Amino acid sequence: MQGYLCLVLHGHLPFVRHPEHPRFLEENWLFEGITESYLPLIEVMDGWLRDGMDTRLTITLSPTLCSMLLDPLLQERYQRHLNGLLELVEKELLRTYWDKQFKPLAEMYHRRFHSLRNTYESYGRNVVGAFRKFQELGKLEIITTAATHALLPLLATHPPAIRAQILVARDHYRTCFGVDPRGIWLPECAYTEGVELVLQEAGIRWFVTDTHGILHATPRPRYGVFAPVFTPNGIAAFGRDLDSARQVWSKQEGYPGDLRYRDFYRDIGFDLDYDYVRPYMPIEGQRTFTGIKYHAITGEGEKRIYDRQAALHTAAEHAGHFLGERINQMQHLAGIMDRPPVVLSPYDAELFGHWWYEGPEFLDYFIRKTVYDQNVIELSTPWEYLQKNPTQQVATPSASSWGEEGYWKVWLNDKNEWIYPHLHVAQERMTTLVEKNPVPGELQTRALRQAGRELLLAQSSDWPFILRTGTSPDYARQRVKTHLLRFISLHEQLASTKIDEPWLKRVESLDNIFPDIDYRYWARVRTKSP
Amino acid sequence: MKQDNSKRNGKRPTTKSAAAGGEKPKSAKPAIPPELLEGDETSGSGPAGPGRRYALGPKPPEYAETGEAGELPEAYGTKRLLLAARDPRWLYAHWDLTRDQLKEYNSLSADRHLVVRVYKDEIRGQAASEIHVHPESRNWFINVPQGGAKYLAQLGYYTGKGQWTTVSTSDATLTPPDTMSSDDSVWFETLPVELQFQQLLQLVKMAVKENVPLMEAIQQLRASGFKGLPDPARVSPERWTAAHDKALSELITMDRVRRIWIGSLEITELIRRQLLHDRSSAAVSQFSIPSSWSGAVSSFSSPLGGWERRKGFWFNVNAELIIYGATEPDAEVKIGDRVIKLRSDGTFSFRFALPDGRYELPAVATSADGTDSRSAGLAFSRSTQYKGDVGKHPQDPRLKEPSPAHVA
Repeated sequence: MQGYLCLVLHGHLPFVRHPEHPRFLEENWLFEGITESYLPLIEVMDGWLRDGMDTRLTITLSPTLCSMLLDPLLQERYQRHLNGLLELVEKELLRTYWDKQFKPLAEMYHRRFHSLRNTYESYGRNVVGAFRKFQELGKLEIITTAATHALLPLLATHPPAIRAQILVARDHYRTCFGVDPRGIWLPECAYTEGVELVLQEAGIRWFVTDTHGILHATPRPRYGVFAPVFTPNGIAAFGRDLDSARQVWSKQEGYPGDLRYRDFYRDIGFDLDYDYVRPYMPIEGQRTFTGIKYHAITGEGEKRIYDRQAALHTAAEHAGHFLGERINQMQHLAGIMDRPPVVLSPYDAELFGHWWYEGPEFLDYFIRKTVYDQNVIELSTPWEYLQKNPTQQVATPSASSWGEEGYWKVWLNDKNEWIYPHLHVAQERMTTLVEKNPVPGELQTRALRQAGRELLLAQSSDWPFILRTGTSPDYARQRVKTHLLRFISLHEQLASTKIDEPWLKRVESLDNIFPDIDYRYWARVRTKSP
Repeated sequence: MKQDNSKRNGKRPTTKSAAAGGEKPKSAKPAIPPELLEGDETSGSGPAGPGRRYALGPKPPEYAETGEAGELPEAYGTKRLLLAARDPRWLYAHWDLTRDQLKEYNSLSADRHLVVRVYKDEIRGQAASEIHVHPESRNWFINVPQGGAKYLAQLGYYTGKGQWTTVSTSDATLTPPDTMSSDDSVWFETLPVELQFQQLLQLVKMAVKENVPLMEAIQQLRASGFKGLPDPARVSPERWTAAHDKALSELITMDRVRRIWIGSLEITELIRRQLLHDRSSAAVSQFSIPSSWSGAVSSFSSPLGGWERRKGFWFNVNAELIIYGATEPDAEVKIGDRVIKLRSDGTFSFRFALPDGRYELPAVATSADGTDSRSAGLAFSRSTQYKGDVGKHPQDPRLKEPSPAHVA
């Protein structure tokens, strides 16, 4: 063994749950994630387990994602969604019966959806529990992220806001996994000095920054991103490896854009007669993806029909290439460094399967090749690496994110800047509310808790992200507005001590995340150092 | 929300079904074999490739209103000035003033608008920049010269006698550094992850003064001969030489980092953009406009002294032109017959005034070895027609007309 490789998948979706509507379009984000990424990943890991492989993987399961995966209403709706998919694919089997090219694809989806339904039901609809199983078997390290995935550096003007995001996440992790989280994915890899103080309070031992977060650290880290640094208060910061990022993502060399892979956008939800797909659309009169897609990316010219065997062959080639590159990289680094290098490669979990359909197979092939075909690289997790390598350089990472240009531009620009002045006021008001109500009555306690939930939901980095990228901007705008308006109402009610209980009850049932939230985290505390 | 989908799409809903595998079995009409229809209609110029976060279709969905009705307040009137570094060169400033408060301060100001002064390190002496803001604006993106620096801001105005009056002062904000640290000192420490922070903090609390970071406290304790600490580091500095340093630093340069800043957003966007580019270069531009330029434009547009004082409704308008692009860093790019200077990552941009008229900016990129070249014939025209009393919005006087002569 010459070095360690830590693959980190970041699984996150914003909290989207609309019991007030029988069906809701944006709930599909979760359903597509389960069908195309989370369940396939579980099936792949079950395969490794079945084959007795000693694998290591790290995954973030964000508190919002876990909350949705464990929510009975969303579980029920997902089951309905999956059953609908099976019904649709059965119609597709008939529709494509005489078509030599499409029929095998319809059959593939039919087998796939059946298998996924079996997996979902065999785990008792508990996707979180399935991941927990792998953690308890020592194959998977599950980490957390900020409670609602807020971009922490933009909350830095009010430290209690960061503290609440981290400590609420820690508490939620305990309820999901029965232990404390050891590592954290800082949302969007965004770090700024001061965040580590709360991490220490939460007992968290490591986090990830983008490459320049380590390269621009002070003092300059000797090993670049190929070893973590300890922040002055003892949290290990790992830097993202550049080469492995580029090989998966870059437009020149990136794998998911290969023309043989399945195209994300050509979907029968848009291609077929509306009346035919209508029963499977969440909103009347509006088309969306079904997940049944028959075309390859293709590139120029008429789209080619998806060739599953060719795509899998490509995924195997890419996995082999990726492994070859990692071996070269590791051997090169080992020749320079006086200790085994660690290469940390983080990706969005939803890349594997949802955006890049063959991603789970790529991952499967890559891990299998790594376990069986070489002895240069040892698969590891950051926690295991730190257990084996407790001596590291001390340095303060530099403020950074993995977004465009490396800082906060994606989340703070002319399309979304309007959010922050409201958050700024709401955060300070939350702290004042907590401090002015040291011994609240039962109703006040409920209102304080709900105010905390609304504030957290408004802080989600997903809303400014969507406003910037324009994938569902009206919804994002409405969500920020709704949570802030609910917060403002709660603030007024708490200030006047006239709490509208029926209204509060309704809002509690709508935004029901973090049932045991401790609102006292928003109180000001003396800065803790060491 | 409810509507006839076929009307919304502007075409018969069945026309694409062939491309996806055949006709829906719904009518008695003889089915046309899908092979015959294959190619009748393609997916057009819509997006293609791998997926993208939060995409629910090729286009954003139409929206069903949900959640709370009502609007957020325009402002809360706290008079606070929020200052936040967005990246090494840009700050975001926001002042929380209601419409009445804004009106009041504008009327007190000799310029009829507020001014933001930005200071480095402390509010003293000459401001690093002074921005005259629009009378109705509550925020501004401000360009600053230095990463890794501390900035503060003041919001205020000048009275008729030229006296400065402060309305609000911000807290300090730190711009992230954009260079490697010059500090190359090395300090290793051993911290077994099995030891819980609480235990360690308890340990050092007894012996070390407060407010010393944990790693320093451990070091101090160890120096004083304290027993029961994690084993000290066994990393011998003499094994690490300048040659090691050089070899490792060559593996990663920040230029390489900058060329692929790709996280959860950009990746698939980049691939998508590339695919779109192949289809239609015009479609690319909408994804490529860096939002900071809107900030750049706005923050340059005001240091020209006062706004014209008007009563009642008014309208000022103006236009600028930004040319930007990227190629291999070692390529040669010409606009007209002028060779332009590329940034180290191969990008370039130029900002021009855009008065009425027609302008041509032919651009040619040639690879370093001269074997490959690409060109674009950029042509622009502006023709303004005013109706009613429309003013010319102030513009940075340094901007010149779009012409190859002005790209140097």
